[in-house]
Amino acid sequence: MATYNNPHWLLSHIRNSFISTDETGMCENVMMNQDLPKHFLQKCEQLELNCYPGLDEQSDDEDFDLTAQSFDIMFPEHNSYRFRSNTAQRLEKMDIARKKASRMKSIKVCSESSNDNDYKNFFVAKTELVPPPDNMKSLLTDQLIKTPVQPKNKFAQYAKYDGTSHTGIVTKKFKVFINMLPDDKRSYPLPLCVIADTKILDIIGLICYKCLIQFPGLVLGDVRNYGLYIAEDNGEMEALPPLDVRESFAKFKFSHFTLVERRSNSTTTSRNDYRTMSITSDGDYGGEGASGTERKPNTLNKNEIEIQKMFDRIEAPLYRTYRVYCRNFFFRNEVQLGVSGERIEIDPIPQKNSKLWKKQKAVSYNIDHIAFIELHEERTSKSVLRMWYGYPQQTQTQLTPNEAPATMSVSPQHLHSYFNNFKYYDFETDKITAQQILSKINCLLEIRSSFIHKEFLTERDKKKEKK
Amino acid sequence: MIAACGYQCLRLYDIVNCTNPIINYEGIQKNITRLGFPEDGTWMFTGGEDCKVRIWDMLSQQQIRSFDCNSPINSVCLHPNQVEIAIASQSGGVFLWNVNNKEHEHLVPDQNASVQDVAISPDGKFMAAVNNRGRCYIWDLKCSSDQKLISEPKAKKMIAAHVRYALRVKFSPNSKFMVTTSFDGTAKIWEVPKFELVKELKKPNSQWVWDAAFSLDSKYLFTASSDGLCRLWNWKSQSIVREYSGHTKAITALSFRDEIICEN
Repeated sequence: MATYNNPHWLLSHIRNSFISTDETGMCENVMMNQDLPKHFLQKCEQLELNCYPGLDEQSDDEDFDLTAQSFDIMFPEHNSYRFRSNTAQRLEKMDIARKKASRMKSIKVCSESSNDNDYKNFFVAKTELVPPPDNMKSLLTDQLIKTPVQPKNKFAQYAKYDGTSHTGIVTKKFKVFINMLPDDKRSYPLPLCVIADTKILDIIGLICYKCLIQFPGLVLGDVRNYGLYIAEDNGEMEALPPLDVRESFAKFKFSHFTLVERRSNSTTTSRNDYRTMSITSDGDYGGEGASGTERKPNTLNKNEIEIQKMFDRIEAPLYRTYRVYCRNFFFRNEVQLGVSGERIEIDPIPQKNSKLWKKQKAVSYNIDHIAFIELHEERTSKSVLRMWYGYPQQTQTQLTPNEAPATMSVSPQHLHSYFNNFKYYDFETDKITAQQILSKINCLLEIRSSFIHKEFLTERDKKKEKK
Repeated sequence: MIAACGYQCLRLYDIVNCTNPIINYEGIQKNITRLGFPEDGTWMFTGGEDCKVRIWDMLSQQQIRSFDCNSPINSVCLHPNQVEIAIASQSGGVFLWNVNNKEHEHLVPDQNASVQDVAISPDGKFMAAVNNRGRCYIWDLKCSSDQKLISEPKAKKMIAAHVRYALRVKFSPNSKFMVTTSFDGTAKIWEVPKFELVKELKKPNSQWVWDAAFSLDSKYLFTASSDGLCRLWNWKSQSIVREYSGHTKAITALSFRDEIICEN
């Protein structure tokens, strides 16, 4: 009956009852195409409460379903062990059950009561009822007075994903390193036990919840500001992006993770937000104001900058696309800028009224031909990035047709020659995206340290000297 | 020792090592809805959907009494005199059964409603029952002159406590207040003996309130609700003092043990 106030459960229950009890199969035919519980869920996606736990994860994809696996198939932790036969396992289970049964006393419930006469004087009525004294103090009141204000853990809603308080549910144990802790505590992972099918976002919430209990002084922001990364058992992070917050945790069979504060990588998080979410206070503040012109001093510490730099480097070779405007004298064309560890692609996005103009073709540049990227113009609402590229004389003949030299003739108007061998594109976009592109490509250039990049730098220095 | 009942089972556990039951009752056909012990713990009563209240001797583990009320039982409550048992049935009847001489009284406040819960005040003066129409019925329990029952129920008052479906009724340990909880997400505190509403505890968007328990000094109240949270209220100020989270599903019952530490 506890489930009756959950509309999702009720709908599922009614539907399943109809389908399972109707022997003619008519109900199933009628209801097959209309999964009302699912429709209901989709309708109120925002209200998490409406979803009955466990019912919503009825995915057809059995690969990800932990329970889909037969219980007879057991994988040993180390491959060196031999699989035990099913019989041996069954015998062991029976043995455990027998041991349990021997400790348990069973009583048969019969309809008739026996030995009635023996119990004639068994029940003794209490004649005087003593009420509790009026002015007494209960232990609860006393304890509440002693601890009047209890700081509320803002992650308390995630406490329910803790697997230690449940029985009969598949749970997973793992250890997590908390990157926001001071240096001396950071190397000790926090052991956790969670319900297996919890979403990554909820796991992050639970980690924050446990963190606040263990380290009450820690300042933590919203759960969405943190990312969960796969880690080695010594706390070293794998060079992989953070786990998708919408994924179920059951998929990941790793024993160690690291919780790290995310870079603000979307326009929804304002820059100031993530700055003020400064984390550990090891007293190493200040003096960092010079590292960025618009960065607030005293809110960043060295560790954070280091972490950010490291992430930039890790994430730099991953393919990402940005929607930017490519400047072409007086016109602006919307293009999709794709940046990966190998190449940079500029794909024009088809416009409705573009018949008048010659269509721009998609171009792609090998990352080794990118010379430099800089912030050319910066206004309050937008920034202009200038990306220099070139091609070494000796390799020009080896280039494939779709690469730089062949495509350069496509729209020669917007290519200006400033340095002898280098040409550039101007991309216009908002500030945050510009910063992201800038740091990503700069990281790539730093990693590759191509000939063209070096050549550009030396040539630029020469020009400066001449001036 | 802790006892648990539920879907077609009744088990007793050792409270220190709760993983395996130490006593299992076999052959139960229907759900057991309520169980309890007298103060001295010598016997146990259970009531369930098999329409029967059974009394078990805790020493020999034998069933020593049973009472059939011909309707599934929603709730069973022991009178503080330790001999009478109040029973709430789905047919709308409330029974008061004397375990000792096996006599009983049958009261039907509303034939078309299922009585969800029944409670007797610790001072033994009142009996209250709530039904699925949200109504709360109060009886005076006076000492009876004939020997049939020790206390004689006399209808006192009917209150429309909730709009619909009441789930629980309980008296405070000092017998001065009564709480009713309902599916409308409220817990209401009533003053005894006038049975007038004193306070209404409600949290915005709260779900069904299944159970409630007073602290021993009747100053605080715990509530258990469908959103998986247990709340501790300072009910006089209607403020939530603590919130206990951790359950993934609805909390449908709770129990609280308090101690007297000093008398002012």
